Amino acid sequence: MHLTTHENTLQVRGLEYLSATNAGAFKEAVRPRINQAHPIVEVDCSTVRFIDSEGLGALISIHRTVLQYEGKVRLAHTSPLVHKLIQLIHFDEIFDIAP
Amino acid sequence: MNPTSTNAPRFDYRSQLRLETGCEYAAVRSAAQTARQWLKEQNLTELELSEWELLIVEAGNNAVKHSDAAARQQPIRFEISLGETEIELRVTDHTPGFDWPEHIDLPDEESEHGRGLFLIQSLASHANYFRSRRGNTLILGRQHESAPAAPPKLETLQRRLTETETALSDMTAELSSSYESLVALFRYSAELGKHIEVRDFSNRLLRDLIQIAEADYAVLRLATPDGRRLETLNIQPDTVAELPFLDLIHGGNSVEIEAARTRQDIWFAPDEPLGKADPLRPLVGNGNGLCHAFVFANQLVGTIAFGRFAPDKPFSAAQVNLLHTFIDFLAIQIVNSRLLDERTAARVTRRELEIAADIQRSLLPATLPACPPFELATVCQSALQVGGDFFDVIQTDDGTTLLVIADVMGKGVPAALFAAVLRSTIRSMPQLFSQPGALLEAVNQTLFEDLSRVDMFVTAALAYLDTKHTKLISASAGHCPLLVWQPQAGVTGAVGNSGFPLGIENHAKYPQTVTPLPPGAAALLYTDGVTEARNAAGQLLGDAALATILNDTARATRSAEAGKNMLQQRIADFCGPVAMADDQTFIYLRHFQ
Repeated sequence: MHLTTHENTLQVRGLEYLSATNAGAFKEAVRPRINQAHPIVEVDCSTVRFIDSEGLGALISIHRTVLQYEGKVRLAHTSPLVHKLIQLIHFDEIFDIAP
Repeated sequence: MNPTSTNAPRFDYRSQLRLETGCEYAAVRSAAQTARQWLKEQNLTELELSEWELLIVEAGNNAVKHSDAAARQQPIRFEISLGETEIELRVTDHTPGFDWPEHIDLPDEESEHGRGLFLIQSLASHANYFRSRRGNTLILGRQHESAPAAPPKLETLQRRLTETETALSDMTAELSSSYESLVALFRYSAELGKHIEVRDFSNRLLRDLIQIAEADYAVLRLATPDGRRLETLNIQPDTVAELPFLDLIHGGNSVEIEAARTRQDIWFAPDEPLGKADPLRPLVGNGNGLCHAFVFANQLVGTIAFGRFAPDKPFSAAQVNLLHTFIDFLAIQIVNSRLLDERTAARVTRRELEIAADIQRSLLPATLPACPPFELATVCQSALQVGGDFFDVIQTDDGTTLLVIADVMGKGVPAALFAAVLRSTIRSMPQLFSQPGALLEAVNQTLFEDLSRVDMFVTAALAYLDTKHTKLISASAGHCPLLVWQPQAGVTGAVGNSGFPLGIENHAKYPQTVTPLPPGAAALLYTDGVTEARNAAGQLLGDAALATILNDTARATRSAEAGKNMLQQRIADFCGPVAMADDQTFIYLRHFQ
């Protein structure tokens, strides 16, 4: 997983999965990088092969952090499974989805 | 993660994958990836594969979330069965489990947790959750869209045949073990309620347990009644060296103490060995096992540690359940045996007290002698069946009378026996009746050694009633003072309580007091149970109140018997509903004109 910044966006790339085994590490890596200058987090989901409820919970944690800076979470290039899950649990009402 | 065979499910499948994995998130994830690979070979679509991978992870994570220390030592089992049109997943764990909610809704949108069951419900067409002591099973199922399967390959058929054979073998072994368990339990049941030797019973039980659960050793310890120690009752096999007792108060490095304190099963294994200082360490070595604390009515009864020497053969959940069942029987037998012992001891004590009470009653005068112009009335009530109070009235040939009242320190059989000895000793010295001081001196010297040997003493008052000269000559060995009432002056005060109690000082002297008892006078000899009678507020009756009662009684009554009744009634009125704490004995003497 790589974190880069572009303008006001923190970009998360190369994430292979987001599950109970790495949700904690994901939050610890991303949250400290969110600030006034980078209130938007964009997760590139093109490499994400698997996500579970704990992984979805980690995204909510990021969402709560960006709200402090009036930012948002954007999920880009979502796979069919990730897309289906997002709709199933109504995350499409919270996150920006860019298929 | 070890593929393994288990009992075949009822689901009619054409192929099946069984996996056993550790109770942790990473192992669950790994199992899901293995399952995904296997499902891929069954021609499922990519989306189906992803959804099943997610279902397996959510189901497994759920077990991990609800696990405790013991459950984390036990595997999670996944069985994925592929039928013609449906796939079924069974996940069996050994956690405490949870209540499957009636309605599963999404949590608040900002909550980080609580979506796992919702995903399971959404992705599976049906979900059932079963809890039991032997393990919890979650069964999920849904239709699949895979192409009809090709005829199975020979090697697949051979593998399934081997799996079935192993499953049958496992089932046969389990059935056999269940049969042996049942036979043993019926045998133990037959012994319930009987008086058994706990050590013999536990010997048989441990031997059965070791055989049926295929264990190599068992160490049984019992908590001492004060709960301070764990002492070894039994070790199987009996070739194992004796183990020291364990101190439950100050602790120490011991899995048995930990189990006793937490009252939880504590497991040990090669990767979680016992502490180096644990007394069981030399026995356990590099093996597997657990320590179980057993309780009855919330009281610790003991602990049992049992295990196997082989590092790769942990006990199954069924074998642990067997241990719990056997040990429950043992706990009941131990408590039952203790209760029977206590009941027998209580019965023996009660019988001894009855005999002693009979002896003591026989010591008291059956009838009181007439000693005109005086009248006598007496009371002797014991707080226990056998008390330490004693009185005697001995009339000599010349018509004079010796009054004796005494209180032997303590109660029960020893007090009654010393009362009997005192009575005989006094009665053996009639030549000294008219000199109560000298009589007490002689009695003290006679009994001194016997009383000293058992650290007992006796308070006593002797009063020689000279009916001819209407006077009382009295002496006291540390006893309550004699109360005298005169018609004109009322209670004239206490008379003499000097002198050591009998059994304290070998050569003690006892001065005598002469008290005239003119017509109408009354006297009261009593034990401390009378003045120390308490009411509900805990107040003592006391000397002054007793003097008042005596004054009222002497003025109001015209016979010794009526006086005695009134004294008793007034003392009872003071105490109210409070039970007597001490014996109450008195002699009431009245000079009637």
